[in-house]
Amino acid sequence: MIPKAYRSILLLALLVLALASGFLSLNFGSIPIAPSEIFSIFLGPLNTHIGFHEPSPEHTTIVLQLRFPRILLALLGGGSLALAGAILQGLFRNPLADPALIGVSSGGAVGAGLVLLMASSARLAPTLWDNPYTLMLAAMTGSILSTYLVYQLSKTGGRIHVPTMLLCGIAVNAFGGALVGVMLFSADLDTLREITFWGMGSFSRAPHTAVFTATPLFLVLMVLLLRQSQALNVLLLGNAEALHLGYDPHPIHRRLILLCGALVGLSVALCGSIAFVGLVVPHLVRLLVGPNHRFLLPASFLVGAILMVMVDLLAANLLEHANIPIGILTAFVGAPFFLYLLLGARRKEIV
Amino acid sequence: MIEAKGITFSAGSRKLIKAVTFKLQPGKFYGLLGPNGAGKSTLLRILNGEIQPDKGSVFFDERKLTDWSLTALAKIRSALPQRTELSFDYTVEEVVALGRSPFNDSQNESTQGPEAIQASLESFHLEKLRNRSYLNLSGGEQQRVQLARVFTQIWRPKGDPTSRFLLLDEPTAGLDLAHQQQLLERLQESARQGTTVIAALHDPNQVAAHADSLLVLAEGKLVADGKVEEILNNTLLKRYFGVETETLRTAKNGKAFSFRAPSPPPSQR
Repeated sequence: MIPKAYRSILLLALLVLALASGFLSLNFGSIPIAPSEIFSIFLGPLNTHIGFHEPSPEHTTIVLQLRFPRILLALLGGGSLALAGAILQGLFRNPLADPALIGVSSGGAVGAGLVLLMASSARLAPTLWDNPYTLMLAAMTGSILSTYLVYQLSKTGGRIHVPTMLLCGIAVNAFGGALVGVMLFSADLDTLREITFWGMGSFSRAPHTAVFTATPLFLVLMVLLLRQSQALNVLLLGNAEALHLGYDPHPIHRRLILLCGALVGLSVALCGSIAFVGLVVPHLVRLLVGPNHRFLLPASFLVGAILMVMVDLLAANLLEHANIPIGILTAFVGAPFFLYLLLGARRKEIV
Repeated sequence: MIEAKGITFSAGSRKLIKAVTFKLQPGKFYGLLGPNGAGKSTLLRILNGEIQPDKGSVFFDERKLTDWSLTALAKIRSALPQRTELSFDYTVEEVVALGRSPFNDSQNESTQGPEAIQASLESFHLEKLRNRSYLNLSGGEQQRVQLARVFTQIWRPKGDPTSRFLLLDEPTAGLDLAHQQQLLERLQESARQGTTVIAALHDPNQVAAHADSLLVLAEGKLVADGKVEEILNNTLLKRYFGVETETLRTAKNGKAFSFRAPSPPPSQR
């Protein structure tokens, strides 16, 4: 763990690193674009005063409509999953919690899958279904509903019973999986492909306009969640202890679940399901800055964002003519890493 | 002043607390005795507002517990539950600092907070452990950290007249002899400064040596309530705990109890 005094410096360094990695990865791709040209593209009409070379129109389109939205989504989506993971781990007082674990992600997947299916088959109002906003709304609704369902089922006498909640999460996940299965079963080949690929996660499938519209929503949810850090710190002590310290755990639980559900749903709608970010990133960050949520939450967001930009860079450039689905890469790297963490922790306990 | 009026509480069909009524005066240290399962923890949890009684009410300074705002109450009342399970890697100082959470919005917290934390760390001998991980401490050390957190919460500069309350469930659990002794002296001192203290304890000798008054619970009923000097005696210990004792006189004219050979426990209830 790094000393307390350096935590703020670390946060600043991570922020710079996130912005820098985002900017750098704008340069890469099948057509390399020089940093100075990217500057001039973003400066737009201001550029004439500064005197960079005039950017070519194709490059402007590539940067503004393809790369920038993709990287923005990698930053926001990856950061959100890591943030939600950190919060859920605090909420359940269990360092192994993950948005996928309690059904948040699968609820979103059901909502989104339903919209994708309707888009391919509905005769009524086709533009309504074949629409990124409907997808966003449906995934958010699905996430919030499934979280709320799990929350209600595991509440006894006004309190959340955590083991029940984890088990309910498993049940909701299984049920969500079955619903997605039914959709896949009844879908035509194109939709099958669409739902499958969407499920594997990608930052480049969402249209750029949807990414830009979602950005303020991401930021608002993030800020609201970051403001809960002191409440989360107190909750780590336990429900009774939180109450004694003036924090009523019940409404805090409700607020956190609603906000996390919305954030994860939004990210699922735009990027599909990306596993292990919400689990591994907060874990790593906790080793670095400790469990204090005032540092843990922003640091998790930033590390998640940096990591996803890197993974996205790999996914977009590893194969010449195809984007590898992000979820595949994160699972390949995340699963062994998670086992390593788990076994490492166990060995430490034995010693 | 804490007042309980006709408190009744049941879990399922079992009545855990039966029509309990008492008053706790400010500046007094109350020992709460009772055999296992008598309802001590339940009673303390009702006083803390963790659980609502089926009947009856609790009053803090003549105001109903349910009418207090949680934050206002948290600034003057702190509580130690029987066990706190913490599975995250906080440092000792961070855990103690959480005790100041109710004061986040207070004006002079930037000076008072660190002072309160420092004072509590010192009084529970935790200065050397302050940067250690809570999870690597022994059970007794963890208990001292939790106690320091609880004391930090209602710490005030000397001479502050605000009335305060301290409710502790088995605070001596896991502590070595020296730290038990120091804790009890610390509780006496808090009471002398005006805090109302109630602590569930198991050792009648500790109650006799340190507490001002005594509440005895048996099967959910308040069976004795009064000054330690007047009500704590061989008969009471025999009747509710099934132990044979002999009363000794200490040098300072206090009482101490010497236990005789064990007798069979009271009829299993």
